Amino acid sequence: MVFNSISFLVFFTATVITFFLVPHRLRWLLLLAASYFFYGYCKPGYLGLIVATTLVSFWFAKRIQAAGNRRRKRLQLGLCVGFNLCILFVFKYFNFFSNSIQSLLNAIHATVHIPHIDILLPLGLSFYTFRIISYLIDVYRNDIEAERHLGIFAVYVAFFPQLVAGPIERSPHLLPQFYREQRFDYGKFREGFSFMLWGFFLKLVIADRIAVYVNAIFSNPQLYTGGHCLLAAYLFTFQIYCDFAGYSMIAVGASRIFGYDFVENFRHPYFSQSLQEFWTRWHISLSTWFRDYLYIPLGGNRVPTLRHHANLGIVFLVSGLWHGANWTFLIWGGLHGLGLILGQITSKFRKRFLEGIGLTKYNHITALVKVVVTFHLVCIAWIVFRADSVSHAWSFIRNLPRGWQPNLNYLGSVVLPFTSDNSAVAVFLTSVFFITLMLVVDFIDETRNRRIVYLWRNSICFNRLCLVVLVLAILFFGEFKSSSFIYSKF
Amino acid sequence: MRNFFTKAFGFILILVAVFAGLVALKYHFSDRFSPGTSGIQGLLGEQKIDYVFIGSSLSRQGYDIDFLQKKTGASAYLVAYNGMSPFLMEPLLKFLVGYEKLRSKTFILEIRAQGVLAAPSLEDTRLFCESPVGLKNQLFQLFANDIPGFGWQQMYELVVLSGNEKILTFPVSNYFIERASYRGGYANKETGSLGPEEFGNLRNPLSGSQAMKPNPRQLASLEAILRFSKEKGLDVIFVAPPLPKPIEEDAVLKLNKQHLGSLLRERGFAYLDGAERFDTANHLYFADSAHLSTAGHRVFTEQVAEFLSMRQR
Repeated sequence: MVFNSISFLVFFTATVITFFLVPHRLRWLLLLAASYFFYGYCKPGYLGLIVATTLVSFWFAKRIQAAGNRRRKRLQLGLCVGFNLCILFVFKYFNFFSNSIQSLLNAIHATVHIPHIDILLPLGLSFYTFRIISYLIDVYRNDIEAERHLGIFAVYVAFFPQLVAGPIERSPHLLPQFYREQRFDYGKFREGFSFMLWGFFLKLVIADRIAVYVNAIFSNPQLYTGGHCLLAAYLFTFQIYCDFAGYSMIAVGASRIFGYDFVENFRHPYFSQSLQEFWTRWHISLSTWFRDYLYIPLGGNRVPTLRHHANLGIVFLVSGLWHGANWTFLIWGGLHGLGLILGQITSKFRKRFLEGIGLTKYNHITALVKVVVTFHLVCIAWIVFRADSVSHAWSFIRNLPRGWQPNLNYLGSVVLPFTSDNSAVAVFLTSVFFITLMLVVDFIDETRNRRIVYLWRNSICFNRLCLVVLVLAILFFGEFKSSSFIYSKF
Repeated sequence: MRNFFTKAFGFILILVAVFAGLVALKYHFSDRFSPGTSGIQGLLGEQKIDYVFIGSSLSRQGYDIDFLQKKTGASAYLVAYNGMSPFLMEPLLKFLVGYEKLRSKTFILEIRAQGVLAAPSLEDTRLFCESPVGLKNQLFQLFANDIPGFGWQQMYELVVLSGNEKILTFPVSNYFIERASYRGGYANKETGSLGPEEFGNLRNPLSGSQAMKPNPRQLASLEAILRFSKEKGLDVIFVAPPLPKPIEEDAVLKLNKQHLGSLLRERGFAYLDGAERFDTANHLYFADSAHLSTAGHRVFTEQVAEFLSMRQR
């Protein structure tokens, strides 16, 4: 079941109403049933795996807590984390590694055949696996006690708003909330509803509209010119943000309506002034997961510089691989890791350079330059992320300087793939309009413009007007041919 | 809780009222946002046109209107919407003939086998959005009655969703559209050609038993067009745009095309088979399996212009 469907709206409404009607002691059962129904709606076969990993992890967490000494705790932790990672490996990475090794063996003319498993990646596997692993490590570190209620733990793993594409909620933050009795709160409902609407706006009005163009160009970049490729790269940068942030907003909003608070997963990442800052604003739940469970255990930045850079490289390579079983994701992660390392190496030089050209006197201009440069670095990396293969990405990048023409007719031809007829200009301009609107709203939120924030919070008319405009934008400009969210494939 | 339900109800009420109002306004006035150099609105802005072409994207890419006007010395206008078939042509023709401000000597209607074989459908929602209210009402009834699977979702997509981008951006987008079109056709558009290998691999895109014989609803519309033309004493010419040789030689299409040609001639209508004197084996003349390239449309327009000039004499 996808968020952007009538069936989800019916399901969600029914679940919310029932949630506030049933007694608090039975709510975990309702949420669990609803979550399993949501997950199994399209492929009931997936349920077996999530139930199995839930049961195994629940049992192991108790053993970790009960283990007498640190060595035993570590052993139990290693076994269970290993179990979860094995499942992830088999379903997600086995074929990737087997194909890569096979290609290598073929290149050296070795006649070994590595088997290929014909298996579908279960929805949300990467997300709930990381949720479980973070819980196990938190129990090991005594950050939280092992959950004694299997049902509550199962809800933590499978709670439907976050199940398919996050945020990756931490157990100390989410688990206690399931024990608190949630009464219907109008303020939380209004907030949650606004978040959901904004999420649907980002997904249906922006992301799905520009997806048509992006898919056309990325599927065959050699048929198009540099102008097409450049526009597709920019549009994909916004598509992936609106798609993923849209999903997160819907998830956060849906949970808020129930009374639960999810972590913020995006904080206007394209206003970042450096790649380091970008990763504190993009997919925050994942980047903090890697920081807490991989980067810091490796030593973080409290080690010699070379080791520190190696840690960064490892974290970003693993992060890239988490996104998908393809060399493109690995390279994408590697590019970000390399960018961060180079950023740290050159940080003093860049500061002196800016001082030298006198730009540090003009904070706003400096900030704008940094934002634009960071945006373009991220954009280049997204090309690799989006491409089907490394050669495909390279072919796309090589195509960027080709075929440009300095005339208005060329610009018209660049936007043509939106619809292949003369309405393409209108669709392009509409996309630009809504992307600009999104950036303006993000900017207002970023700068916490007092007047607007005051109006939003205190003026009922302004608040309602904004919501009505948002709903109308979705109803009139939404792309309703039900498409899945990009990050649900990870 | 009662307060919440009151507020929620009020919000929904206001939303529904605003939504309904906007949909009604759009239904009545969407045609006012159309560009002035293409489509129905462009034609309705003219008063006297010698040749009115009605067709699909094949006609839009098949005719160089400027060149045709120079060759024939007569005025011409092209009304082309993707997927145009007899089913859609019938109400459009009747509307244009009934529009008092427009006087036209001759109607040149595109007739193609694929159009008659396929079930009624609406491929190009611009036809609906650019139509005045009267024609919109007729089209809407037709779609609801005769397009298979035309349900609530399709109705919503047509009435609420389609054409909104044009309305939102019309001051800017119409400027670009009007620059790129001339009297319904393209102005200065360069369309490339197929390579020899791609040309050789072309196949009839319609397949399956449904594609074997004319769709009854399409045939009924064609009959209605013929009857209407006789009733009103219209000068109507049917033109089949040329297709690449591998497609022209497809057995099903060939048989249906011959059948259509015979039918039209027997009923006393002029029929021009565009493939007869066109080099359909030349890959340079075609952009894909159905549309002509820039080189092709020049040649085809010249042939049609010659045909029209001979008729004039």
